[in-house]
Amino acid sequence: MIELTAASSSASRTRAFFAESLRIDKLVFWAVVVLLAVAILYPASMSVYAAFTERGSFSLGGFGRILEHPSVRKEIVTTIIFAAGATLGATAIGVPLAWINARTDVPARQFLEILCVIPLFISAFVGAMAWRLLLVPRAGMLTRMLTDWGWPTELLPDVYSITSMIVIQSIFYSPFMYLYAVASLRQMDPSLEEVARIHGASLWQTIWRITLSVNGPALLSGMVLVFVFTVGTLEIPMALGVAGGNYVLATRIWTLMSYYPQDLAMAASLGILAIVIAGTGILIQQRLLGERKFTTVTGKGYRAKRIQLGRGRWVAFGLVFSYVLIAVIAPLVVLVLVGLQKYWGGIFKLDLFTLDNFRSVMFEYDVTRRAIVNSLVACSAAATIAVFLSAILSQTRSRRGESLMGLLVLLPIAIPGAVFGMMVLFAFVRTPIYNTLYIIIFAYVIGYFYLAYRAIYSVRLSIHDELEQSARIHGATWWQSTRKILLPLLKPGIFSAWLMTFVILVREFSSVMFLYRNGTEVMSVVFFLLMERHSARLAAFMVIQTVLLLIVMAIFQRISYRNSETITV
Amino acid sequence: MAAFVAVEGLRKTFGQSWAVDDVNFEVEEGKLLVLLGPSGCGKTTTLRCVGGLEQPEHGRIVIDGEDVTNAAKGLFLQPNVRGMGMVAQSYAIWPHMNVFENVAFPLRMQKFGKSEISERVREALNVVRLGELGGRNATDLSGGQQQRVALARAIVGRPKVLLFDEPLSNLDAKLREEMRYLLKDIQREIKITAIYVTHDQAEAMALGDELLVMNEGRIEQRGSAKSLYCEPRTRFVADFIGVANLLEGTLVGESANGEDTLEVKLGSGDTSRILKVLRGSAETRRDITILIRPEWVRILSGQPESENNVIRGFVDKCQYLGDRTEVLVNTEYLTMRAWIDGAAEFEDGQEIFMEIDGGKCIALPAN
Ligand SMILES: Nc1ncnc2c1ncn2[C@@H]1O[C@H](COP(=O)(O)OP(=O)(O)OP(=O)(O)O)[C@@H](O)[C@H]1O
Ligand SMILES: [Mg+2]
Repeated sequence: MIELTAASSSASRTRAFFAESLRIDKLVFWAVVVLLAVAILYPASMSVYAAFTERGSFSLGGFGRILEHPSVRKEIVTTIIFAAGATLGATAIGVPLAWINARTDVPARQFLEILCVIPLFISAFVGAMAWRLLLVPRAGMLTRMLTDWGWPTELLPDVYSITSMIVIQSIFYSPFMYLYAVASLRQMDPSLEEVARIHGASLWQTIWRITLSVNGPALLSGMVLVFVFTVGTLEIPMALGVAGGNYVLATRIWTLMSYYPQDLAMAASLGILAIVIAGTGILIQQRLLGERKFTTVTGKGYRAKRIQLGRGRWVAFGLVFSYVLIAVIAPLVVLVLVGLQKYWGGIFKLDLFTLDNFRSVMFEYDVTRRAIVNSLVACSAAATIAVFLSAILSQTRSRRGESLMGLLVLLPIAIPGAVFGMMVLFAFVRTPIYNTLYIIIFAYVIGYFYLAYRAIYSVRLSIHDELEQSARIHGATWWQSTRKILLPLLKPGIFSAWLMTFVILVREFSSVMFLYRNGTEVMSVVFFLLMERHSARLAAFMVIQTVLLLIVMAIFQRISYRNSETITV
Repeated sequence: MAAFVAVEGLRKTFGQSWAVDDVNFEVEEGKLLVLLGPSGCGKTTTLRCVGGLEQPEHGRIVIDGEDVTNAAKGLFLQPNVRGMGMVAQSYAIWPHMNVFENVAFPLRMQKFGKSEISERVREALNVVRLGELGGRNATDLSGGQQQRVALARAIVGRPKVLLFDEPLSNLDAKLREEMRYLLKDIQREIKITAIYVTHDQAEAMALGDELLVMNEGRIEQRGSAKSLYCEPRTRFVADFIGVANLLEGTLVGESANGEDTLEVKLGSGDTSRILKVLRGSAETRRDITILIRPEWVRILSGQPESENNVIRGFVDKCQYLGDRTEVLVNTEYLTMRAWIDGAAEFEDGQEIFMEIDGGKCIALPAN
């Protein structure tokens, strides 16, 4: 009798357990988690497999050829210098800009705040090509102006040098540092600085010993992001590096994959090496963080008093504005000017004025027309999928679910962009989707899913559990409570996450360069195809992409100002 | 004796209205002045002006005989050269430094030698009774300990003036009381000149050699805790400090025999009554407010012998609070509070007579 009761109660407990774990929301959540994990791990393992296999059997030949190669060892060093230099450069630009905008009484602040993140919406490839048009020897617009004013030719900067690569990469990736620094500075308790001032620290000592140190953890996160991005970027290395003979790992991998004779094993081995370099950057960050592990003290209910710069505020304004001039205005102006010329001779001539370039890339030239459509289709599809998955995933409130998500989201960030493109190629090379836009959409979703997830997650955190739970208690099903309560609350967040993801995807270059085929070119690929052929058409096409992105950004700004959200990267 | 800190004609605006509007005060060397007032009255702004964290539009601030702010001359010294110490409301412990480094910071800024720094940091930590915690991570400490680190940091450089902005308001009630005594001890021990901002009147009365009550950017009254409590000059001060029964009445006469008392009539017709109270700051105007503290009331047992200074009422509620009993009494004029030592029992609705202590109750100008 007793045994019977025990058995039946355990049976009912089992039933309850299944009923609990079979709740549809959990089921959906775990299905998506597994899907994403497979989508990341499968390409990764395929390329590891490729690195250790040749003609179907185990081999270390790929690694061996790295050692034998005449220039790859130098290229590894170049990659490290390029990435480390750009990280420091982006920090040196982004952090002061953030400090000026967030903590001082610089004039026209709101205006500057918008301008400072615009480079995020302009592809670094576009920026590099624009600066190339400005600075190439002899035919560059700025070069000509400077030589006309008697500037000695020896002192002109060499736009193809590794230094130029670092500087331009720094300029166009500094918005990442800027955003991290601004967010961190905004939430810092300003009395940390004020107390230092009172106790004898000058303004500079306070900035150095308090502000930068207290915000150190956030700055390190931004730096490691820029470092990994730079290890995996093809933008500047293609636009400037190849022409100057400065190869980095990303360009070498791409060359090995794209040109005859291909060497897939060596490319895959170099991919592992690039991940090791990126991983070292992450390790260094973790080490530095570990020594100074502290939670940033946030100031609740304190008015952050802006630092009065006195007459120095115009100096600050000048600094921020010169950044905007270099990163936004000059590139756009030169591209527009070049786009409006029959051919480009280094200087704008009225009698060469034409609208043909714009007309042809928009309406006549097959590849560019196709690319616009492809970009719009692939990027909006990918953004939609990413946002949809993020909305499902951000619903979990279980600890385990959240930390698992943290990991899933981190993994793609840690893989350098070009390496990720290579991995996806390895994963699908013999499948039917290989020659289609789907492979690009896949790479977009998996590689940039974290953008949408972070944006939505931060909105989700601000919505109270109780709202949703009370709906459930009052008898709503999971789907009803999601649709009636959660989605409407998330809606503005979802929309801005979508726009953000869309923009970053449209300018994505490094992984899609591995995945396009004849017919599936997207806009950034066409930049590369036009690069050495027709600079006026290229300029026109770049203007079109940039205008498209700026429009999306303007919408984004409007929405996020209304909902007082910030851009998350 | 010349004042060690002098503030003259201080005015500061944020946009439209004056946050601080013509504030004047002095602090003598080694004394602690408390700025007291409701939220938003301009206490913090005044303190920040003294520290050099805000630049006032008008006024002059002198510390130890030296002008640190003089708006008329366009003089404004940066905070780091004013020789101050400060304890902020949020403790403002730097999270990237341990306790020792936090406390050593002001000394490092003054370029002290290594051995002197460790000597003086140890001394300062001993003063705040945190002797052994130097190596600890500052943010691992409890709120009370963090506040003591902040205090050690503020005194270690032997500043001329110590500034406190509601340093205890983030602590729980018991700890707050403990810290209050510690602060008082330390301030006496090292004889430092200090300005202390708070909106907690118990804290203010316990700590301050002198109190300054502010309201809407202006100084309402200045004096010792006792004088503010017993002889407030305005209705605002009477109400803000302690518990107050404020009765409105009209002046009917002044005492004939030279004593400084007024006769004030409450109510009109049948229920009117005359109270004799101290003149206080009341002008000889018709409308008078009388301040009656709850402990200045005696509840009579049975009928009064005379009508002098007696108010009739009915018990509304009665609360036993341990050291005293608080009785809420409905009178014809308003519901009054009366405090009786120890325990006392009344029935709700019971008729009682209260005798008002005419030697303590005081007349104020009515608003
Ligand atoms: N940075 C600022 N910008 C705009 N207004 C301010 C600023 N600082 C203070 N004020 C205003 O000045 C007035 C006085 O503020 P202050 O902080 O001095 O008050 P307080 O007496 O310290 O109040 P609390 O007890 O709440 O701390 C308030 O009305 C406040 O809104
Ligand atoms: Mg205050």
